[in-house]
This record gives sequence, C-alpha cells and structure tokens, in this order.
Amino acid sequence: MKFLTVNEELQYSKQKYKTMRKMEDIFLDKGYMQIEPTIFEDYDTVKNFADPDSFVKLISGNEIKVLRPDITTNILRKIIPNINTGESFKLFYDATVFRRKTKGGVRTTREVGVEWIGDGSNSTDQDTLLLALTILDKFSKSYVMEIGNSKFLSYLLKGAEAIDKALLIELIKEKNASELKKKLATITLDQDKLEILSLIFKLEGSIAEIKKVLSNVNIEDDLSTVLDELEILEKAIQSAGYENVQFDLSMVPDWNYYDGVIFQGYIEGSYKEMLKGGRYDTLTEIFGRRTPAIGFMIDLDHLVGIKSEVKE
Amino acid sequence: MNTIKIACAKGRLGEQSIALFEKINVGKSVDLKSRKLIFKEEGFEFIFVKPSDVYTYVKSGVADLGILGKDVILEEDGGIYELLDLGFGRCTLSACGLKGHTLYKQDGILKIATKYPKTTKEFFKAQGQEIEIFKLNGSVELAPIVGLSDIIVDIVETGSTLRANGLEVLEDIKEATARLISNKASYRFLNKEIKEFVAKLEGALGEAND
Repeated sequence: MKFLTVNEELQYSKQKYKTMRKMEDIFLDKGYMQIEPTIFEDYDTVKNFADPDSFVKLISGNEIKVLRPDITTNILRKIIPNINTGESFKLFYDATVFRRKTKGGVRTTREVGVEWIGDGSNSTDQDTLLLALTILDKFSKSYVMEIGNSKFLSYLLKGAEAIDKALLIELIKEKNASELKKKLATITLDQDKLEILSLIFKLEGSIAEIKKVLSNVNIEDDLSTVLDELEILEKAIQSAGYENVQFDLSMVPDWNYYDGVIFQGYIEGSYKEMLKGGRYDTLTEIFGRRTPAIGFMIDLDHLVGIKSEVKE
Repeated sequence: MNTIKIACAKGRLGEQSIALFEKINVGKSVDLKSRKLIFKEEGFEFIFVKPSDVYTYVKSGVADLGILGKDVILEEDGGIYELLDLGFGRCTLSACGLKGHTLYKQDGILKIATKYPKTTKEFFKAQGQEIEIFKLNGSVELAPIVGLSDIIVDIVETGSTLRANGLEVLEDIKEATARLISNKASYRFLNKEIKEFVAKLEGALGEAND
C-alpha cells in the first residue's frame, strides 16, 4: 500500500489497529485464544500445500526456508501432532503472509482468522458461521454471506470421468450455464444427477427455495442430508437475527481441502470477498490424525482500505 | 431501486448489445451516435469502454455486469461469473498463415504473432509444439507477410481480411461469442435484479431462435 504523506500512513495504521483491536475483543469474548504462527517454514513441508513458485524462499546455510505463505497449515503443523483425544482449541491469529508476485516482488497480506480445532460437536458449524456474521455485520454498512457445502458437488459428480469432472467444476465455478448445458449433454452420469446438475444454478437462495426447485427430482440420501444440515444452519442464523444470507449449492471451494460447509462474506464497497472459510477436516489427516477443524480468514488490509464504518 | 451498472464494448459488440437490450425495454437512454460514455436510466447505468477493458471494469466492481467476447475472457485469469452466452459476435479463434503453411514443426520452434498469448500457449502446449510468441495489439495479419512470425492466432469472422492478405485458416482453435459476465460481489448484492435481467435476456434470445 502506498501513501502520499507520513500522516496518511499513520492514519491508516491507526484505523487498522482500531479495527484489529475490536475484532480481537469479539474473538476473546467468544473464547478464542491468540496463537502466534512461526515466521519461517521448511520448504519441504510447505511445498505440498501451495504452488512453490509463489513462495518467498530464503537460503540459510544448507537449508531452504520459506516465509510463511499460509497460516492455517502453520497452525495445524503445531497442533495436530500434539492434540489429545477430547482436547479442542479455539484459536485466532493476526499475521502477515508472504507470496511472490508473478512479475517479481513480494506480496504481503495481513490475515486475521480463526481456527476451531478438535471439537466434533454439532454446533461448531453454526457457532463459527455466527461469529463470521457478527464480524461482517459489525464492520460494514451492509453485507451478504454466501453459504454452501463442498460435499454437494462432490457427491453429485461422483461417478463422472476425471477429465469431465475437472471441466464441470470449472464451468460451475464460473456459473457458466450456457457451456455447462452443452457439456452435460456429452457426459455419462446417473440420470438423476444429470437433472440436478442441469438445475445447479437455480439451487440458490433460501433452503425452502432450493427444496422447491428440487421438489420433482429424485435426490439421493447423501445430497438430502447436506440439504437438511444446511436447513438447520439456516434456522440457527435466522434465530440469531441475521438476514443477509444466500445459500448456494453451486459454490465451488477455492481450496481443495474444504470438506463440508463453505462460506464467503462480501461487504458493501468491496469488489471481492472480504471473509472466507469452511470446514477442512480432510487437511488435518495430512498432519497426523483426522481432526474436526473449521475456520475463516479476513483480509485486514482490504477491510481497512474500504474505510467501512465500524458499528459501536 | 437498485441500479445495475453494465460495461459495454464500444463498436459493433456494443451496438448488438443495445439491440438485444431494446427487446426487453432496456437501454433507451443510450445514444450510440453521441460521444457520451455514460448513460443512465431507471434501474440501469451503461458505460462504454474499449472491448478489452470490459473485463477490468467488471472485475474491479466498478461495473456489475459486462458484455465482451469469449476470446477476451479466455485471456484473463477468471475471478468473474460468466452468466450467459449472448450468441452474437460469433467468430473463431484460429491459427492462420500463408497458404499451405505447416502448423507443426517437428524439430523447430513455431513463431506465432497474436493478441492472445495465453490461449495460444495452452493450445500448442496440448499439441506438444514448441512456440515463440510475439504479442501484437493489432494488424496481426502483417506478421507472417513481413516475416515476423510463421503463423498468427487471431479471431476470424468472414475470413475476408485474411484472404485480402493472402492468408488462410490453418486450424480452428476455439469458437467465441459475446458473453454476459458479472462481478462476484455484485452477483450477491444485486442477486434478484441480476437473475431477473438474465431471465429476461434468455427470453429475448429464445424468441430470436424460434
């Protein structure tokens, strides 16, 4: 970020600090504790989780170190090997991550986020979502949150050829109805699933609206369960008084490890998502043991840059 | 009432876009003959920009929706929703060259001049052909004639420009038509309005095909 005067830069820092302090208060109030991620990672460990070309590498003696590109994996590496059965941690972090820009130079992003690790109870999804909604509501004039579940598309595309699956996911991600229709006509898949796929972009809005669209379609149990779980979530969100939520079963997670509920929050004045998160139990397996894990992350610089009013 | 801001391409694509909008009673404020670039009416705001800039305006959120060719979309790196194929502006991205020129050099590097480096790289990588790209911004047909490149990758409509320069289509790469794209945040905030607009456009397109 560039500033014309020192004063401008200090004003920005002040605003960022105020925002961060208020966010931390909310996290602390909900029982989250701060965790400090390590600054350096070993190249050999991180190279499996992100594109190595995006790493900022340092050579220290005979070792290649990487400036942390991501906080979630950093935290999991510390926690998962050491977590005992029955233990759970509610953690928040406020840290900068480093990525190489394709045209040279380093991009620093200040990430603020939460991770709830180890708690397998039913209420973790809704509690985490409600916390995300609290943040969106407090730090914006108006917001919209989209909620989906990565399992829906996963189950729907089970049985499709790998090449077809990749293209279908890309088209669904772009909400490309025209090209999806053409592609669906060429693939082999269960008839009921093809029908749901042809309606995929209509599976949006409230759960009642989505169920109405599917009322004449045969839905297998796996998909039905996802819908029912989202309905429970919807009720909890409505009870808490939050309205600006749109469910979207065509949501494609932008991270391979999401495995369950996924969500993104947009605030007025922002051209892209401000907050994103989801359940990612699958990722924890890689660190030693499958553990329930859910969290979300906010781009703090982006939030402060929008100069959104903070509600008191 | 919420306003939908639409970025239209100047030129023929813009004219065809407005023609389509008029079928659903939208775009009455637009005067394509004037030098004005912004037009406002109830529920909509239209801005006219260079075709290759429509994507930038939509991605940045300054425009909620945009109309541009699939050929331009292919060169960008996503981050928007592609809501509808509008059908007009049909053309084909093709590899072209002097008559009878070979498209595949077994032991050589094929030199290609193009406005579409990304699409070109992807196509020839899949074919296993090594290439060198010369990015040009216009009059691409000149390149093989003056010896800058072996072939070109460019959009072809009727093929008359190619023929006039002694070139021909060697291989088709991708078909491109005009698409309606949306900013992701706008899609959420103006969800009802955008879905209604798309449904009306689909209706108008459907009638045209009957």
